Amino acid sequence: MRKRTVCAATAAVALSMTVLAGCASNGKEGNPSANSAEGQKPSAAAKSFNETGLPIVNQPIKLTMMGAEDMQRNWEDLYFFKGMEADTNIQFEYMALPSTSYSERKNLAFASNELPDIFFNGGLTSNDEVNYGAQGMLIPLEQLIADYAPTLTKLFEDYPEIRQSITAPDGHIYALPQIADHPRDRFFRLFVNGEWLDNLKIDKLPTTVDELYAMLVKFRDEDPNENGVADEIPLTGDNKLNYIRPIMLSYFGYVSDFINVKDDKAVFVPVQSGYKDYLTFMHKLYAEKLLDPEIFSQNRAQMTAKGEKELYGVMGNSLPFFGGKDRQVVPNNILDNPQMPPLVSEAGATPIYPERDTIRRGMFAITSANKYPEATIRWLDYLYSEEGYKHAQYGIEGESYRWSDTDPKYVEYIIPEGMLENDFKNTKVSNLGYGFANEELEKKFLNSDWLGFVLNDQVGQYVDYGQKAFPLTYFTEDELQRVNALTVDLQTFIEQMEAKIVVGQEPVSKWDDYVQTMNKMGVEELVGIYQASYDRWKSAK
Amino acid sequence: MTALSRGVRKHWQMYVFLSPALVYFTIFHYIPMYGAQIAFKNYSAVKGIWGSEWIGFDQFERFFHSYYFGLLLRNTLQINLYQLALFPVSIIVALAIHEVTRARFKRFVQLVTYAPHFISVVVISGMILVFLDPSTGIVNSLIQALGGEPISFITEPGWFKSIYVLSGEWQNLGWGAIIYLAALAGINPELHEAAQIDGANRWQRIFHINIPGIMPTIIILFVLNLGSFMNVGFEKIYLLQNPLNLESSEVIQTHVYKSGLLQAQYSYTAAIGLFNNVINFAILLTFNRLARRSGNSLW
Repeated sequence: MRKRTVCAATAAVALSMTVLAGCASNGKEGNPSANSAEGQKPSAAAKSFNETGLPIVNQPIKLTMMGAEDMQRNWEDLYFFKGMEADTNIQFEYMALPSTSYSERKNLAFASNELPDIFFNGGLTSNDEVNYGAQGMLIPLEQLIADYAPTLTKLFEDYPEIRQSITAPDGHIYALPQIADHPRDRFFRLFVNGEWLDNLKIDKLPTTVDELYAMLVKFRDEDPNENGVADEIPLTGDNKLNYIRPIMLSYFGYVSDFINVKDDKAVFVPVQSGYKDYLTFMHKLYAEKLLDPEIFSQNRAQMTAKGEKELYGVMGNSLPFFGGKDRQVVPNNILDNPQMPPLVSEAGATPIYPERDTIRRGMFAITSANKYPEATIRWLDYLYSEEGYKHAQYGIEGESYRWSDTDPKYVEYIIPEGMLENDFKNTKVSNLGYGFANEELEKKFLNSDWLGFVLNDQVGQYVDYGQKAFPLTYFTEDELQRVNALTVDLQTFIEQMEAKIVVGQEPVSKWDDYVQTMNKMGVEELVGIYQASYDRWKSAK
Repeated sequence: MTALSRGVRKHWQMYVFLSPALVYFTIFHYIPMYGAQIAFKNYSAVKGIWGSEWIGFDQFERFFHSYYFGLLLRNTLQINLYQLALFPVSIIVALAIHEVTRARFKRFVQLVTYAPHFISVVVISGMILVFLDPSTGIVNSLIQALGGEPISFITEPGWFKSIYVLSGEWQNLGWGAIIYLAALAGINPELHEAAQIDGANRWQRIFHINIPGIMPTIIILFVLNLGSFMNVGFEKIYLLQNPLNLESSEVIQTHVYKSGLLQAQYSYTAAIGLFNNVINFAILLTFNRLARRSGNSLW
């Protein structure tokens, strides 16, 4: 009994340690690749490896792959990987993890030095790249790219900002990005319920915050869903305020909810007076029942359910849910429900609108466990080619897709009996991670009425006003430690303060006290670090 | 020949029985404890636990000076004190079940009270969120039917601790009663017969026979409970958390998860964990010493 108790008390310390326990020896032996591919010795692989042309290796090799997976698919069943394997002879053992627990598992893989050979859809943060790159767990790729990756080299030449955005402060490239050069992905969307606009005979969308407010009031009071009950919820958004916050903040002068670059100066947004205006406005909406009262506690499914009950007027989401399945038909769901233009808080001012980067860092990386870095970089390079894109999006010709008989031709999925096209594409083909895509490429494969093209056509009103919050920069290791230490508390504090003020648990006047607290929590130091990383990025240009 | 080795030779069967437990605790609980040193280091996976450089008490200082230190400590303590205040509930349930004479009914009650123990935390949290939903939840429908205003339980910081503790109590009360029921079954029936002959009624028998009979069990369980005093079940808190109830729901364990597993600050969170466990250990030692006066201590 006595031994048990002592242990029970210390078990919790042990708990965090047991996970880490195995790694010291592993790391010290200097052979972290113990868990890597089966079979062959490197020399044998070298003979089998082709520097150009396909297959990449004559004898099949098997690597381990880790990545985030949200649709509970078996990666080995995807036509994408099958097609890549058929062309390259590189096989994988997959560790596909749901994204809810992915970052935890990824961190543990690094902490215990039990690494996969390759991260795919790897969700590596810039912190991971700098940290684990410096520790040698992610290998530098720039030389491999120069030697073996013509497609990537060409891509870097065509888009110089890619190299700039993925080169860590020590001059190395540790992870490769996904380039999703789509107009549709560059902007957040605020959809307005088109049917409600018709019912209330509103023919002009707002241009200022006051007009937006007036429209929301009409949505609340004039029964636009025509059910005789005042159950309308004028405004909502996905994932608490996270989706609509950058949009709303842009009405008050900022395109980020944390650090925003303005005229080459890093600005900490939550202490700016524009942020106070944003809080005041959101509180007004909440207090007058114009904002979804459950926005802070509901999940996505609950939001969609309310949307399908026709309760929402304006929705911040990647797609609108303004009614049942009949109102979610592509592309009418996009065409019938207009998107809110950029607004200003003072009439006559020039609006701004948050624009996202089309470079998604940290998607693919090769680890120190990998015995075949040359073959792996060639596999990745192939992924960025048109062939790779074809596998990633459509699978294998004759098995998962064929060309239509129409002119011009486009891709048709070969869908098994009783399956919907979207389900087939999502569960059997991929929709996971291509290397590079843009509209030009997509037009070679897809019918012109495809949803993505429809969405691309809708961004015209944003393009002229788009601003990026902060460029894709890196911090040095020392900076990173400070940023991590400061950011956790600050972000918790900001999120909490925002929620309290918006629902009215605290008055907006309390914001001034909050500013003082945030300053005490190290805002100045944080801004200094961001400024330094921005200056480095700027001078590297 | 020493006394110990003589004892081993004489009762070697006993030591064989003991050895698996000994091996288990040594390998899985004592040896890994060397990893606790990363609390005083700047841990890097490549350098390993031994190889990372020492930085002394920096990680502890960072925690003590962090903005949320006071809040974390307060919430952790409050939730645990709240739970501790409900410690007698299982005892009362056990005493009550023990008094039921009809065997079938007794088994039924026992089953009903301990069945919730087997529901997973995730499901329980989902149930709580659904039942307490301000617009569609059953609890608020009831409140509205009785003419009240709906309460947004899950976003009201004032409600959080009650929801957390009471739902936990509901889930575990039957399970907690099992040990007491076993102890009650071990009380010599002759005592009850003698008391009945002396004319003692039910209350008197409960207070003078049953409670003193299970007192050693109560004390041991109480001390064991205190041994895990600063530990709050992480999963449920995390699942019930949202930015509005954060000020009463952020505890040491959720903070450790967010900065340790999600932000990969292992040394910092190891320091927090160590701090937490040192407090636990101190509490355990103190109360065990107090318990020893009653003759029922753990050691």
